[in-house]
Amino acid sequence: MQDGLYDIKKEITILDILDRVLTKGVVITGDIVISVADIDLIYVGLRVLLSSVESMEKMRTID
Amino acid sequence: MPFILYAIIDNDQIKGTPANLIHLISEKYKVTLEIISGNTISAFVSKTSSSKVDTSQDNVLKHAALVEVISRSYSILPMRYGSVLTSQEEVLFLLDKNAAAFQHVLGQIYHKEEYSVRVLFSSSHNHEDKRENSDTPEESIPLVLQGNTANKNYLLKKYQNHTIEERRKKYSDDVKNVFTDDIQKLTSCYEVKKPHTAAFLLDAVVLIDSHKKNELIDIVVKMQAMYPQHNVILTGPWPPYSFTNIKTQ
Repeated sequence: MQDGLYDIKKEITILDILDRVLTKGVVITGDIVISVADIDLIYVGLRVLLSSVESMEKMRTID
Repeated sequence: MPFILYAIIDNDQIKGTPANLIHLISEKYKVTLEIISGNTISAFVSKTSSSKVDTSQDNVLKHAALVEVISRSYSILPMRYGSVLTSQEEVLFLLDKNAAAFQHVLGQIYHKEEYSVRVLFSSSHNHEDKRENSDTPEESIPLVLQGNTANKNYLLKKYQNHTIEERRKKYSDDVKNVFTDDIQKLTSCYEVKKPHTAAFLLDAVVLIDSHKKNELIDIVVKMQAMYPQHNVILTGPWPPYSFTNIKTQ
C-alpha cells in the first residue's frame, strides 16, 4: 500500500457518502434545496468533493 | 405529521413487520422506523416534527447509515437526503403514482450492489509528468515556435501545456479502456464519469450481482498491478444510489 493511501481511502469514503446521499438516489420533485444555517445550498456534495480532492492533493504534495 | 423517507421497496419483499431491523435502528440511531405500504410499493419512513430539512454532516451521515442498514436486509431504492413529505396521504400518493417506475428500477437492482472504482494520479507521478514535459526536445517543437519570435516564450508555454494535457488525456483514455474491457465481462451496468479534477484518471460506478464481488476485486487488483504508480481505490458496497435515477411525480 502506498503512503497516505489509508487516509485517502477514508476521506474518499466520506466524500462518497455525502456525494451519493446529497446528489443521487430517488428524488421526490426536482432538485432538493437544503439549508445549512439558513443558507440554501444545492449540490453541496459535489462542491465538497471538488474542494476536498484538491486539498487532498495539496496535502500529499506537502508531505 | 411529516415523514422522512429513507427507502423504497416492493411489497413482495416485506413479509410482516421487520421487528429486528426496526429494533436495531431504534437502538443504534434513536429513530423509530415505520413502513407505509401502498398497493404494490412500500416506503421506509420515520416521523419528524418539521418538514424543514436542517442539514449538518451528522444528519446526512445518519441518513446514509440508516439507508445502508436497510439495504443490508432488502433490495431497496435509496431516497436522496431531504426527502420529506408532509403526511401519510402524500407518501401513499407518491408510492401509488410512481409504482410502475419504482417496480421497473427495483427489478434492475434486485440483489445487486453498487461500487465505485477510481484511479488517482499520485502526487509524485504528477511531478514526474510535469518535469518530463517541461523539457520538450527542440526537434519536437513545431517550426513556427522555434527561433526568436517576439512571443516565443508565451507560445512555447502554451504549446507545452497543450502537449501535457493531450498526453494526460490519452493516458486517462488508456486506463479507462483497460477498465471498461474488463468490467463489461462482469456487468452492463456501469458508468464512467467525467473526472471532477485532473487528479482522477478514472472515476467509475458499477452495479454488480452481490455474488460477483470477488470478480470485481480481481479487476481492481489487476489494475493496481498494471499501474503501481497510481492509487486504485474501490469503495462499496453501496445501496444503488447511482442507478436509481427517478424523478417522481
